[in-house]
Amino acid sequence: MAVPMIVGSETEYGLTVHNDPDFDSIATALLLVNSYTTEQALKLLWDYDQEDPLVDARGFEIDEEYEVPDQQDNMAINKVLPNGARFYVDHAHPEFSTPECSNVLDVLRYEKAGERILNLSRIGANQLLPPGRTIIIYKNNSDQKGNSYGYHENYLMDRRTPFQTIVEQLLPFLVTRQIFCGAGKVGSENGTEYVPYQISQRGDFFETEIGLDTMVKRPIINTRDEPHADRDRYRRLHVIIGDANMSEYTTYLKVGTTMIVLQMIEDGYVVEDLELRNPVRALHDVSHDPTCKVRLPLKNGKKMTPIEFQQCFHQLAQRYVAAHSDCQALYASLVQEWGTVLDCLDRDPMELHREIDWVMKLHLLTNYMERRSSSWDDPRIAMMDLQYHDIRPDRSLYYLLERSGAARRMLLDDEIALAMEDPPEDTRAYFRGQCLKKFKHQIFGVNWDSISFNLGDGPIKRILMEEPTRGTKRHVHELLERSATAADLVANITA
Amino acid sequence: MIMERMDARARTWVGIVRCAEGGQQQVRSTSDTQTSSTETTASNLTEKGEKLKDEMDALIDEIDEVLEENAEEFVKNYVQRGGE
Repeated sequence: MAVPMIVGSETEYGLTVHNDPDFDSIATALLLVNSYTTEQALKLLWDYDQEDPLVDARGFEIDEEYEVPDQQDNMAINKVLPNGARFYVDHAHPEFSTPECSNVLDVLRYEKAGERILNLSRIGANQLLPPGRTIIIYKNNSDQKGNSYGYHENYLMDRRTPFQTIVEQLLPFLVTRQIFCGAGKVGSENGTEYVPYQISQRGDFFETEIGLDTMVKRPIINTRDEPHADRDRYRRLHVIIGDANMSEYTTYLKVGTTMIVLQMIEDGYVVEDLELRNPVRALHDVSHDPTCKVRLPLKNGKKMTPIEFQQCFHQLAQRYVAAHSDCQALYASLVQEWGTVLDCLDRDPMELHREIDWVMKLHLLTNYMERRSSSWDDPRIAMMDLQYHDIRPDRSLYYLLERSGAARRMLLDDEIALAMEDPPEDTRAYFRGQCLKKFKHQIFGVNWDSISFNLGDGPIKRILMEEPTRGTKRHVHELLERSATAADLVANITA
Repeated sequence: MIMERMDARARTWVGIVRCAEGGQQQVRSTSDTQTSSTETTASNLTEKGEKLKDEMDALIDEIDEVLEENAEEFVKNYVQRGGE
């Protein structure tokens, strides 16, 4: 049986300052990250070091001593939030990482919370700018000028699953899933064939099948191996090809289907030979065809459309869910939605103009062009392509659709508001978040798999948490209740 | 060249290209796609179609209200550093 799936996403946001001729992206990103106006956004170190320790059944480890690194830059760049998330500057972009989540609706919830947190930061930072200037933030992946920035998904997997197996079986899924995950884009880039509109934002920037790089010659499968967890047990699969999505339903389908496919791969369920002859070419061909009917050549000589590829994975998933009654309850409804979406795509993709980002955007653009006698090279169309992804609820074209009841939702606003404050209860993010709330002034540094306390006298005490499925409310609630101070906590863990 | 590659059944793509040629022709819009797949009387069809058209008209009007002014310059000035 596959290991419990722990998932998280990282979103690099696009950033600009309106009416600022000397716009400095790094300075603005730093200002933004430091403007999240809550007393809970603390000055902490992001702990870049990693070490190996002994394991406690509740998911802790104690370390002996800790070297003090240069702190100032670190604290300016990194914010760790009491909901377990990380808000930081990465390559001149503000970036938001969700905490570790056990299910797709939590990932969705925390991603949406991230948008709200970015928006609050924007409002706070704007107050410090000269009049007439305003920060604008986009949750997208392209500036239409040859530069791309990422949306990354992280999936916890069993180390024993051979990486080559993951590569072979996941590649065709990643190449074709964009038919229901793409965020849509006007035009094409990076030397690919011209189209007026395509399905994915990121696709044109992918040039190889497999590799370590994330910024040039981007690979469909990224080989980064930094588990932030017990590396004998776990692999963190780092998926860099996805688009950032505005639609809740699209994110739900994107992450949920990928979770199921990875679990099927681990359990040896993907027995069909779906290897593509030329995955990078196929990726571009799928993105450049909004009918989703382009026939992709496989290594075995067959040709299949991206819908047919996804129908294969979907059928396997139906069998998998039926055979694994102990798998997540969410999977059954997700598989059903997946099937319905594929049927719609097969009949006419435009039927999904309330659910799938690229269709929703295309729906707006074509109706706009029809009513305003406009065309694909109208700058207003390029502006709409961008403004769809604006995170301001009153300016974003996505949020305009949502407000008008034209976007299918998966969440309630209350659920998103809770996710801005509280960590998930069923992963180690719970321990991290609760420590940040309760012992904020004694925390010296934080990482995904450790928390360090400064107890006043003696060396920094570092607690290691290499097990992402531990440190949950069930595991540590009682311990936290018993510990009035950080010193108590450390003593109680050591005892 | 692009139209030849695409199947004539692909109403989506035809719709896109017709928009590129200007709004004069009768474009098969998304509201048509919705209503044609359900079984309704002719008058219901017109009524529902009208309502969807009105809703879309309102949406497009709102877009014009919130869209950044001077779109050409805004888009030209939007340049990002490459990220991961």
